[in-house]
Amino acid sequence: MPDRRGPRTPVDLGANVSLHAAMAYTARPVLELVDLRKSHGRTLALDGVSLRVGAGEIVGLLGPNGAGKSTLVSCTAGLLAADHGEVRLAFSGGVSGSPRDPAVRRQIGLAPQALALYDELSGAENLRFFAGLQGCAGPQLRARVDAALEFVGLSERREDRVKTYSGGMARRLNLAAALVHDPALLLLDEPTVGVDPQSRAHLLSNIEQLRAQGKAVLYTTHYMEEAQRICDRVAIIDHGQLLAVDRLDALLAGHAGKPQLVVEFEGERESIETDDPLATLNELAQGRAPLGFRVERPTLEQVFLQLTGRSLRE
Amino acid sequence: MASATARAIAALISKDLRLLMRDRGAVFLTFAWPLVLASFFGALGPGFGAQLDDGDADRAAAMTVLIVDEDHSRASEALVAELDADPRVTLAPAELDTARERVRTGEHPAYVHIAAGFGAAPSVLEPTAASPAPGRAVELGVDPRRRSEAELLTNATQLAAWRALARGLPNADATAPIEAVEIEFQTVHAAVRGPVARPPSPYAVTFPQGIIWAVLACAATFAVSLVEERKRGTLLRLAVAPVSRLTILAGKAGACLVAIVVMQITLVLAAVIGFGVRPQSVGLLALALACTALGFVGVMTLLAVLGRRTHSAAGMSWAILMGMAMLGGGMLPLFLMPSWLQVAANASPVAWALIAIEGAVWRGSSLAEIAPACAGLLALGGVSLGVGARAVREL
Ligand SMILES: Nc1ncnc2c1ncn2[C@@H]1O[C@H](COP(=O)(O)OP(=O)(O)OP(=O)(O)O)[C@@H](O)[C@H]1O
Ligand SMILES: [Mg+2]
Repeated sequence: MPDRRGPRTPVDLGANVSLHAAMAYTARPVLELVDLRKSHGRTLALDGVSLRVGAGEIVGLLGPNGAGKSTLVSCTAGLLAADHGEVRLAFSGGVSGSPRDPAVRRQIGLAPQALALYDELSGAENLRFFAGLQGCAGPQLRARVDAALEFVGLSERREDRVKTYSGGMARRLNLAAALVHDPALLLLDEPTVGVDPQSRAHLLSNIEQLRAQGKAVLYTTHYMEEAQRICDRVAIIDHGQLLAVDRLDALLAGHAGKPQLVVEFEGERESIETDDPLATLNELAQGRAPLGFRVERPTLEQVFLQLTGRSLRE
Repeated sequence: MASATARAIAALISKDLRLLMRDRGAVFLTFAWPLVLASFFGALGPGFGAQLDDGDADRAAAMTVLIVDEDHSRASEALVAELDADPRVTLAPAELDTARERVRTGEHPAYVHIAAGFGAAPSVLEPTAASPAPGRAVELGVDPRRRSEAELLTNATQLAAWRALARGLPNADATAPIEAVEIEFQTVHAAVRGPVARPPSPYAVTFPQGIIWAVLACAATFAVSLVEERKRGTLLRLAVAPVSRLTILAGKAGACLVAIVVMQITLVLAAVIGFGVRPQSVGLLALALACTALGFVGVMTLLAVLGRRTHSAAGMSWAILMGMAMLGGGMLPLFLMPSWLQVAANASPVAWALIAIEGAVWRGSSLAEIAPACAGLLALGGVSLGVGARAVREL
């Protein structure tokens, strides 16, 4: 196994983890985790995790249930103290330090995995409260609340109690509550879990907009399709260890193998791994006519399977 | 920085009050129920206290009045005999100075003083040519705040005087509506307190009790609020916000304080406007209510911190507060308790609150008399708040 424990040797990390590429990607990391370890009693939830997230970047944290994703988010937000390692945060304007520092906290927006909203308050009241807690007041507070509601598409339901919201709307408000105070770093812990396709699309496009605004986004999920769709880089975590951190194409190239060409003939089907599907199809089609064909691009599922020896979906 | 903290506290307070107002159960428990209790038990009438009060049953039936007969004439003795015969009054002979002192200390509710020369003065049945004669007069020494006792004694004395006169008359109509004697009231400001003092109206008893209930209900409601926030998940957001644990506690305490004060004002206004309760000292009442509020806000904060992890611990808050209430006279008026329990009850902050509030409302206590109770409440609040704040390193 290659050493994933720290930034000591940026080169020669082996084929398994291109940590060098992962670290080098961002010129100015907003968030830097250095060799984080955290146990919950006898469970080792984080086992030496190092990761960087830069401004204008979405880093996906992909892993199965119990992999340690939420623990990582909690340590980053300062909710849990790591047993070992360091959480470094640095924002424009010279604000930097640990997440225990109030000035640093103001730059963090957390959308917890479990909905954290007051059911008996309206959407607008929830956001007003959370913005007030962050020190906003007056016209600025009103503008922020309006903008956040507009952003997640809840303006029309703003005065309705949260208990009357659908699951998808509540998820969207959960996101709005994380960004109402305009933080530079967003920690989104499974922000799309259990929502309808419509709200999911809305949420994903919201997160892409946040990237466009220059925010650093740490995005936790166990949906590969989401990670594949919106993340600039993906970190694969299992049993508290980061197995790989890289750009999506690099991960796919490094771990998922080649694209798969599936060709159907009369009474049989052939599937072949190939770098050049067109040439391979030409070769196969010599002398007999294919009924159909398709090219299956490698997926994160295969990356995960190759890295862990098991499927993410199980 | 300071203003950001102030804003955060304001946001916390307004959020918690909103949540309270939208929780129908909590609103009923803290606002409606005390009002209902106080009105209902008050409406049971003046007998409410006396009927439950078996230790005092004989006194409730007959008031023991000190009698000072300095005349020793046939007329005075006849009056004393008739007054003693009245089932509502039991007489105990005394010297004038002793009698005054005992009424002043609240040991006895009243005295009747028949001065020398009573029998020698002309009675109402002996018209004199020298017209408006001084006539016969007795002096009643009573605390004017004890209106019902004063009235009862006046009636009994008039009736007795009339009967005493009628004894000597053939065919006299014993119910003739004549003032048989002139009654001079001697105002005695009794330092009434403890088991001897009697409230002027049942509402004066039930509204302080209602206030105590409201305070305890508010405290208990807020004591579970941290564990509620944990259950909802919102505690996470509070914990990542750039505010200290102390600020969050201050927000809880502030919201609880506002709820308690609003409830106290509501109940006092209802008692004064709706039920004619006249607090003897508005200033002392305000002091008593403020100390009660601060004391129990402190207790609430400590309980909230202790119970922030589990619901069972939070449920304990109710048990603790109800225990205080039972012991402290929040359920049963203190003056109805057996004396040994009244002594034990002094250990309960609820009793301190009652001493202070009842002292201001109808016991006629002075500042010095309620000061220990108020100081106890403030100290309790301060200590609880301090311990709670220290205990809450993390939420
Ligand atoms: N408070 C806790 N006490 C004990 N063990 C915990 C606690 N929180 C997490 N764990 C354990 O730590 C490990 C990592 O949990 P974590 O919640 O970080 O996983 P996750 O990746 O977020 O999972 P999921 O996808 O289900 O949200 C798990 O084995 C979990 O059982
Ligand atoms: Mg999780």
